[in-house]
Order: sequence, then C-alpha cells, then structure tokens
Amino acid sequence: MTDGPGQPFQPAILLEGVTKRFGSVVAVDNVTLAVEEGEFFSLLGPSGCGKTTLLRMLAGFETPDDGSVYLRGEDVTLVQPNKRATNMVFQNYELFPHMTVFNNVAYGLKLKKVPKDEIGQRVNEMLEVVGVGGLGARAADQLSGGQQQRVALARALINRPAVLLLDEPLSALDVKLRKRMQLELKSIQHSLGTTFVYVTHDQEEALLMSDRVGIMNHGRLLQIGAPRSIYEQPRNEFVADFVGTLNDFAITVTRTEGDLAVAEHGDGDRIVVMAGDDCRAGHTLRIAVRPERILVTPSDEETDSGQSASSLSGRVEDVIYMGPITQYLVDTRMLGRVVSQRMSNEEATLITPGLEVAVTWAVDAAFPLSDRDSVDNPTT
Amino acid sequence: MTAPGWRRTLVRLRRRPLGSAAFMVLVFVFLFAPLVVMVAFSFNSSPRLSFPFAGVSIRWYQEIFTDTLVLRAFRRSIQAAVVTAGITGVLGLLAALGILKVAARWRTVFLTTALGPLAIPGLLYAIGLAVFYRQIGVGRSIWSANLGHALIALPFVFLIIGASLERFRFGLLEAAQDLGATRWYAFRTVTLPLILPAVIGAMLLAAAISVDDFVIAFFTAGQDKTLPLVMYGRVLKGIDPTLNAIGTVMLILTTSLAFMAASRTTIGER
Repeated sequence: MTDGPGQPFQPAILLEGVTKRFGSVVAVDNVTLAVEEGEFFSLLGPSGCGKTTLLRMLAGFETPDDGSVYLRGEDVTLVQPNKRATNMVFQNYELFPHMTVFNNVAYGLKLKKVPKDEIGQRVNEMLEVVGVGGLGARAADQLSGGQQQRVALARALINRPAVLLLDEPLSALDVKLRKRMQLELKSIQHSLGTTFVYVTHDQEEALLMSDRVGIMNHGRLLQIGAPRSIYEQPRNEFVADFVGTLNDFAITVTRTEGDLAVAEHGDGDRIVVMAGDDCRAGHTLRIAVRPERILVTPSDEETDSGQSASSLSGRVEDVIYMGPITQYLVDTRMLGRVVSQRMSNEEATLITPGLEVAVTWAVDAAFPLSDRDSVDNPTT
Repeated sequence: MTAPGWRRTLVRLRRRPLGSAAFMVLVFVFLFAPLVVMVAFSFNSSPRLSFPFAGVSIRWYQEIFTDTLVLRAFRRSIQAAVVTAGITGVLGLLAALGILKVAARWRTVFLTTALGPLAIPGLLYAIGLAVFYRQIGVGRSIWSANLGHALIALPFVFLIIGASLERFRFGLLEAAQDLGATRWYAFRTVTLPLILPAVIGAMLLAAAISVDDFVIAFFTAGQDKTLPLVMYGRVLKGIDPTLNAIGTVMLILTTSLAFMAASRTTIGER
C-alpha cells in the first residue's frame, strides 16, 4: 500500500457511474463522486440506501457491475481488497479475538514485512494516538466497546491508508461515548490528514464531523455538499426531510411582487417566498421551512415582522419540552399543523396549549422543494 | 460447568422421597458395577474370579505388558486411533469448509448425505467394507480397518467442526483481507486458530471411536488384531484375569480421550 502523498491533481477517490445490483435490486445506482485528498467525507442515508455497498466497493469487497473506481488516479475497480491502499473500520470492529491488542494492530505491518523494532514502535505510537496506550498486552476480547472501537481504528490507520473507510463505527456505542468519539475521530483525522470516507445514518453525526456530506437514497447520490449547504439549501424533499426536521407545505400563489410570490388566505394570513420569474398567480409551489426558523408569539403581542414576512394565525396544540429546546405544535388555519422549535428560555414559558398565536418566519427561511428523489447533478 | 447442575440435582434429590433416591442408586450401580468389578479384579492376586480377594497385586498388568501378542495389538490400536484421527481431521475440516460454499438449497442434500451414516449400524459398514475390499482385491489388514474407522468417525468429526464454523464470524476474514492478507494467510492466522479447539476435540473423538471399535476390525483387520479382537479371542477361551487388566487399560484410554474431546469442544468455544 502506498505511503507517499498522491499526485496533487488526483482526487483520493473517484467513482464514475458506479452501479451495483443484487439480483433485481439496484443497491447502488449510477453514482459519480470525487473525494479530495485529506477530506472528511460522509455518506448519509437511511438503512438500505446503498451507502454500505458503496463503501464496500471502495474497499474491494464488492465489484461494481458498471462504472469504475479510481484510487489516487489508479483504476482499482477489479483490484482485490488486500491489494488496495484502503483500510476499513468495520461496524462491529471485527477484532481478532484470539490475539492481543498489540497483535491486532500489528497484523497489517507484519504482512508488509516491516522490521520488528519498527512494528513495536509504530504500534505503540498508534495506540497512544487513538487513546488506548498501555493496553497492548490486553486480549482483544477483553475490551469495552469504546476500547474496541479505538483498537479497530488503530489497526486500520497504522497501515497509512490512502483512504480510511468507516462503516458506522460509532453505532454500537452509547450516546455519551458516541458524542465524545465523534469529536475525537474528527481531531484524529485532522491531525493525521488522512482521507476519511464515513458511512452513517445519523444526520447530526454527519453534519458535525464532515467537510462534505453525500446524501443517498434508493442507491442514488441525491446531493453532495458542505454540511451547511446540505442543511440550508437541500435540493429536494428527501434531503430536506432526512437532514433535520421539516415543515413542508403546498401553497397556491395569489399574486406576485417582483421576485416574491405571495399566497394569501382569510384575513391577514399570508406566505411570502422567493420565486422564479415564471411564477404566476394560480401556480402551486412546494416549500419547506426549518422548525427553528419559525417564531411563535401570542396573538395579542405586536410583532415587528414587516410586510415581507410570512405570518399565520393559529392555536397552540401542544408544547414539548426537550431540554435545551422546546417544540411547539401549532394548528394554523391556513396550513394545518406547523412545528416550531425555539430555545427553552423564559419567554418560551409564556406559550401554553390552547393559546391563540401568530406564527411567523422571514422570507429567506423558506426554500422551494423539488420532487422527492430527484437527483442532484454532482458538479464537484 | 457441570458442578452447578450436579449440585442442583443433589438438592432436588434431597426433596424427593427416599424411594426415588434408592432407585437412582440402583441405576448407577447397574451402569457402573460391571466396570468396577472389572477394575477391581484386575488387581486381584488370585486367578479365580470370585470373592473374597486373595490379595492386591499388579501381576496381571505385568503379564499383559510382557505379552508380545497384547503389546502388538495395543500398538495397532494406537496406530489405528492416530491414523483415524489424522484422516478424519483433514477430511472433516475440508468438508466443513467446503459445505459453506455450497448453495443453500443443495446444502441440506449434502448434509443429509454426509450425516446419514450416523444412523446406519456399524455392522452393515463392516460387512459392506469386507465385500468391497474383496471385490477390489484389497487384503485384510490394519490399514483396511483404519479406513473403515475413518469412515464411521468422519460424520462425527464433520458435525463438530461444522458446528464450530457455524459460530465463526466471517467478517474477521474480511478484516484480515482488508489489512493485506491473502485468503490462505487469513485462514492460517484467523480461521484455523479460532476453530482449532473444535478440530482437535473432533479428532480425539475419532480416536476414541477407533479404539473402541470391534465390528469393523473383526471383518477387515484379518490377522492384524486390535486390542478388542485380542480380548474377544481370549473370552472365547474362558474369562482370563489378564482380560480385566487389558479392559482397565482400555477404559482409561477411551474415557480420557472422550473426556479430552468433550472439554476441547465445549470449553474451547467462544
């Protein structure tokens, strides 16, 4: 496996039109993707979306039916896993139970005939890096979940892979440990500069750790982008819905004002969104608004929202306290249920079930949605 | 492992009326009395097989360990055990690994075919082998018996190794391959060490089956008499005190093999 830096103009990974079928099921459908050298890239999607199959094709455990896989510019589509400069951290770690921690981590180096002194030194260094220094003599089947995770990471990283592949490595850990490991993984990746491809179904994890995220569903890569753009400018309903909670509505435009489309209803209820030039009165638009962008205020209070903001009247159905944030379910006359999330502060306690309220959001809080599974054209 | 169950049985017995406890004792007496009598008489100094004991001696052991006929039979039995263990160990491991590659719908067919012989009486195998050897012109010898032993022991070995492979996590092999191992290297460093306890246990069981066998050897070994055949020959001439000594040696041999096999296949698993 290669040690040195790749050619600077070659991406660490390039997938070109990769397709994989299992019987009649298309697990991965025509995926094209480039991952840059040193990048932390996450594949995010629900279970069965093809993200693990895609990862296994990068590792060489599956061979694509169509398309090519390039690693640092070299076509590895048909190369066996043991001849690839990738290493993997498996979901259930797959530590060798009959070996010590040291021998687990040294396994790859022994295969490469690295001198014994160097193996010892590198293994101990790597155990320090991942935070299990001193556990080398321990049997691999006598470790806690968190320790196993770290050893699995060390066993893969010690081979200095061109790309480290991680298959939901934190899913078996409890919440607290998982949160800590997320930050640690990120900092290990940062200090080593290794390219990480990370598979997860946890959107929060993907947003928190990644430089870029690719969202998958039904074998297709729907959108690729930085966490902020994925969250704030999702290009279709699936992405918007999967990455965070969502209010989505269909509205009928009653009039347009420049590039703004306005939908009015009853007395005073209105929705204002940015719309294209071709938008006319009578058109139906699908829009979405993140709950944390929606403001709920008692009706008798003056709101300072200008004419450009959306404003609906309604009655509070329920108030759900979730610690740092509180969720409000409001039954609006125009759109039915709207979900709002606000910080749990003093003001929040004023809003109680049954209260008549105004629900408002700024123009830029709403974004248009395209069809559920429409595919983004990856330009990167 | 057996201790808690054992104690539980004792505790339960204590709650039962005396009658059932007495019945239990009778059953155990019935099961073990013949063995106890045999072992006891092997140390009796008198050649007469009746109580009371004339005195304790090891003269019968001295006699069998200087009797070349017995010693040769003893060596043959050991040889048969080792050869049987070797053949079945290799074939059983290969078969158990091979069946993993067989498509699921064919697997049942293969398994039934491979395990079927367990239900067939050894006598049928013995007769069949004798006829078969004659047809293909193979003489009767200890080697012919060895093959027969391997034949009857193989299903057990296959079953035990197969069961241990069923629990084997094949993801470990992917991990090894991912780290650069060839299939063969992964097999040597991961698969084999993890299933070795079961393989050794199965081979010990095969050895015990071989040592214990009478029927196959009777029909196929010819003049190369194994221990059971020598004992049978002596019984025909009347019960001889040396039989007790040979029997005791065999008892120790087979039970220790069976015990080692059992501890390997149960304690060895993870």
